[in-house]
Amino acid sequence: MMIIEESRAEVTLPPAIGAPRILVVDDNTDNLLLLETILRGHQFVVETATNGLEALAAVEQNPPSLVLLDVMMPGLDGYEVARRLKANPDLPFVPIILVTAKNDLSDKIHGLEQGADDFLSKPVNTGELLARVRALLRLKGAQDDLQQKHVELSEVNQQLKQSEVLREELVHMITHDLRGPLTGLVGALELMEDHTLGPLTAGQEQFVRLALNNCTTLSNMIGDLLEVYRLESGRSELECEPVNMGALVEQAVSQVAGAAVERRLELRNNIGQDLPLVLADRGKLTRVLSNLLGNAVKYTDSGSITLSAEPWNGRLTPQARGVCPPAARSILVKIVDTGPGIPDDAREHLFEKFFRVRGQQGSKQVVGTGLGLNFCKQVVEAHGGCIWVESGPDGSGSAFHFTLPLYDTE
Amino acid sequence: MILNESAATQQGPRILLIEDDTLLREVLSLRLRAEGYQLEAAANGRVALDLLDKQGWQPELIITDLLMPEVDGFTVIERVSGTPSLSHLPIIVISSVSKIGERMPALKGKVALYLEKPVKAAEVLEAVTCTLAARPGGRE
Repeated sequence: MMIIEESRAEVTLPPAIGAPRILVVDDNTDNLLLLETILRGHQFVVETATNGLEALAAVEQNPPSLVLLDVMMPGLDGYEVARRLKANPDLPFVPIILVTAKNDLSDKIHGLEQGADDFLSKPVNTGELLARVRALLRLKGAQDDLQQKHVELSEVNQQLKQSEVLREELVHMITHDLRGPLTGLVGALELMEDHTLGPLTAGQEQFVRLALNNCTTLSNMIGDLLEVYRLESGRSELECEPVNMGALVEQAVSQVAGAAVERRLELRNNIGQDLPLVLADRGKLTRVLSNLLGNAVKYTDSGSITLSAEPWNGRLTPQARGVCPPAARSILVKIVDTGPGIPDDAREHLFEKFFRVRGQQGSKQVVGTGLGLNFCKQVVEAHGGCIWVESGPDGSGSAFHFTLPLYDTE
Repeated sequence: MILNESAATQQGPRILLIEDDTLLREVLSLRLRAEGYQLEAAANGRVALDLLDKQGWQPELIITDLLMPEVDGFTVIERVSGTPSLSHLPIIVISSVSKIGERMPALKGKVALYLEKPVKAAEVLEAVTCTLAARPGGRE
């Protein structure tokens, strides 16, 4: 039986390299030949199969761009071939057009449910055949692009994950390998400092003390690095207890008092012992305060550093917008310096890892890991608090603010 | 050993110190001997286990690092806690391995105190005093 309704005689050109390959499956060789002729006439590469098993083998061996599949075949019918092809997860997307004399709606529905993508009714109209084939090839093109992008993205993602693992290993290695030798170094210097190894000259004593100071700086840097990664990976646990900020602040102030005197800065602590308690990790919060105070001392050339704290009044200033809103019952701690201040464009990045304020005229390079403020942010946020900085025009100093939720006695 | 000889008469409790960092081992040895402790220092876990296997000498406290060449501190702790004649010995760990790390569950219940490096010698001395005092029949 002729299945072709209308066909134009055309000069057959050889298909272009990379032209779509179409697998035509039909048990009737006359039908095969006709479909093949039309498709070849439009520069498609055509392969044929005369039964379901042969079709499955052909697709699995070298997936074509599209399958034209006769429904009524002895053995595996077109529905079953479509079902098996779509059920194979190893195959790429291969559009299937069922070619059928069955025109019942229920047959079409059944075919689509088995995984076919479209239908052609016999007798096949050449124009419709080509239009449907091309439409599905466009869909396949888009699908293949998407798949390719997906593969590329997965690869990039995998590389990113790998470099993240490497970075973590590096941090782990650095912190571990530095902390060991540092412990012995500090121990040895202390043996000299406390004269266990005999009296020192004034000069020796001065150098031993300076060396110990550098050890403390190193130790703090390593501590920041380690703690930032622990906090980020959720492996750090806060050991919280009700804390009186007044007592804690005194400890942090004493850590920077020497440096403040050396730089002729006035260090004013206006935080009293009568503040409501907060629930906090004493060690980490002390480091937050000493980091903030240490920064203030490092970056301020003259003037003062003032510490104050008060119950939070529930209002956020414009520069604090964008931070998470603090809990209603919070304490607000402020550290205000008379240093150069923070430029507007730097303010929003200030708490990011490894961020350094740079390019300021006349500003000097100050040593640090670029992790101190990120550490502060992570610790404060782990406590359920917020941290931000306010700074006016150049030269008016910076005011670091952070909040901590109050310890509820109920 | 560079700083082995201490003038102090050593009548105090016996301590086994296991630390592969030479500088830290010498610093702590000197500090502990100066406090009157009888000290044996080992550069790694294998030396320490040899000492423990030797008849006639047993420490009253073990201070150990964790990551060491040849035999590490984890192995020493396993051996000590698994040996009936040694399992009563308190162990202080001094290590730069994080005390919340993934290998820590293995040490649970086997370690009296965990000190993370960097640690000051004074903290180690205090830890030793407290741990010895907390033993059944300890001082104070």
